[in-house]
Amino acid sequence: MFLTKLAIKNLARHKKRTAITALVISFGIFIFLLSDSLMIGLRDISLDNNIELETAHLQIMEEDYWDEKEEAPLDYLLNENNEVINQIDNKYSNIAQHTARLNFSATINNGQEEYPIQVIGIQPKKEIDIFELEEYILKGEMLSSGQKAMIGKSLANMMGFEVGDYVTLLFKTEEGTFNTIDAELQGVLDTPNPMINEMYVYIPLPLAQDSLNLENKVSKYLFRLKNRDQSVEMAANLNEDFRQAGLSIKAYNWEQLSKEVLAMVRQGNIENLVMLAIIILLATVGVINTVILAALERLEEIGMMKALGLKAREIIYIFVIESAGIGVIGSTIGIIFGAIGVYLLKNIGISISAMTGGTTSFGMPIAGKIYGGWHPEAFLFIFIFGIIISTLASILPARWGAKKDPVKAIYHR
Amino acid sequence: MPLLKLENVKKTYHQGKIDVPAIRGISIEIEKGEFTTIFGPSGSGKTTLLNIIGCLDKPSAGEIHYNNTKKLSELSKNELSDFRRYNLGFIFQGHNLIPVLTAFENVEFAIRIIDEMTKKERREKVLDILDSVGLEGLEDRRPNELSGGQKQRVAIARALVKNPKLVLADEPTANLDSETSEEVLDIMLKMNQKLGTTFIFSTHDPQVMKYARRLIEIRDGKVTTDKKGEDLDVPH
Repeated sequence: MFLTKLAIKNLARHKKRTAITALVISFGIFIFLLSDSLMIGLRDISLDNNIELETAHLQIMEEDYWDEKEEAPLDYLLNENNEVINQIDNKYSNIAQHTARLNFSATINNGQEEYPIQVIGIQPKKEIDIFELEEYILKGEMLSSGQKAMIGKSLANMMGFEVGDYVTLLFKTEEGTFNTIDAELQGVLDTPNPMINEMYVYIPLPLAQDSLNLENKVSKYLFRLKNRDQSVEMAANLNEDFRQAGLSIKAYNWEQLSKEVLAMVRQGNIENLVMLAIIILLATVGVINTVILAALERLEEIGMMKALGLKAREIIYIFVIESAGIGVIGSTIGIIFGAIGVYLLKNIGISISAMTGGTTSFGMPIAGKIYGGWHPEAFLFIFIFGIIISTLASILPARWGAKKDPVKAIYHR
Repeated sequence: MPLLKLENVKKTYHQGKIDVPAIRGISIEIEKGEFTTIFGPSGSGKTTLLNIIGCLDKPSAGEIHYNNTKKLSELSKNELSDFRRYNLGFIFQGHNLIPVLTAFENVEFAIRIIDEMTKKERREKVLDILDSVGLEGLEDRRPNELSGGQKQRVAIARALVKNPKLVLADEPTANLDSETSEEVLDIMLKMNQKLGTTFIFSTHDPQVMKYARRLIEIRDGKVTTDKKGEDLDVPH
């Protein structure tokens, strides 16, 4: 206890040095907490946007379609008004709404240039119960029926389209023949999802089916559940139903449908590991430097302690507790500033352009501002981590000091 | 029965390929309660001898017997630490106090690491020894709030508080003016007489020799004179 008390008192010997080392540790902790908060916020916003604008809670499609869904093939389609879907609707009470979509690849043409896009045939009345697309109408109105189209802001700007203009879509039918759709632009969307803004053209489902000669065919069914948390269990139940019925269709929950987003979040978590490595480096260098300086300054004292009968391990203990104290101070300051930073991030947010210097969101379905998220476990983890690293970093230099020959230490030779 | 017996102790330092003998074969016996002065010019081997007696340094040859039983050369590092912890007190010329501790805490340090007393006993013991060395009322001061003589008194109190069998003092007055030196030596002599503690201290200052009760003179690592009692021709 006495040695612990001495170690704590030693923290006040060189207040500036203790403060600088603690601040170095706290800076690393602060940056880690901000980064972690941003990643949480990024994940939550990305997933929310993905679910609310693109995937819904659950989708049903042919297993082979799932494998090639990025290409939006015209094979492996489902029948509209599928009996199975109606049975699902009747069997499961937690379905809020469902809709069908028919996706296919095309190019959009403004008479001068063309650009590859993906066309999505939708059922507008049902879509507004499932997705928030209507909330992001920038110009014009939500898609209705007939020879109409709805596109994103970026695509509209790039092709020079205004509401009321006619867009021309060029595509190949299932038989391999070229066809076109001329549709009046009914609405322009400005969503937080860059893919929707740049790549998608929405048209009514019947128009898509007629143009492709795919009457009553759809790519997939999309479901909104009353509770999103039921998605995983519901998909599992449906898949069991399909297996028992010998069907080749499959249900996919929102996590499976958002795997690209989750992969990007995992990439972001690697950045957090890099932050951890930087903290380890900062804390280690700071603490080693502090302990070596302290040991050099206190050589005579170390010699005196040895003369009094203190063993090397007891002298090491003093330095290690001292460093742990620096770790506690640094971690506490880091946590306090981290909490303030996370609070500001959560409530004020940060614009993507301020973060990236442009409009890119690195493929994440986000736009505008990113808001941080609270992650109490990260606070607890990094607080303990800061102390442990600070303590461990002191052991070697403390051993170096404590193993000094007492005569050389006393007489500073 | 001597408290300490040195048998042909030698110490040679190696500086590169050159051997530098510091102690060239010293055999002495120190009785319990003796107040011994080791006198000699700088570089004569006084400090080396004290370091060897204090188990801070190991002799190159020879043996040291403590209390006629223990051979110090046979002890491990940890055993030597324990030996110093329970049996020896040290006073250095630089006093080597811990600056963040008060006078009380610096003295208490020596018995806290032994941990054989209750808090109350410890407090009484420390205050008593501080009183004995004339530091009553200064126990809460830190070293930077004390004069050189007061610091050395704290160091003496720290060396004596655990009632060691032997106190070793390496040039304890080297950094003090003559008046303060006499005060410090008076205290050491008083404590020797009051507690019966054996003192061995080194000096190269002839003014200090009048305090010697036994005088061992060293030159070039050898004992040239060893006088005590009536043989001493210094005024007391």
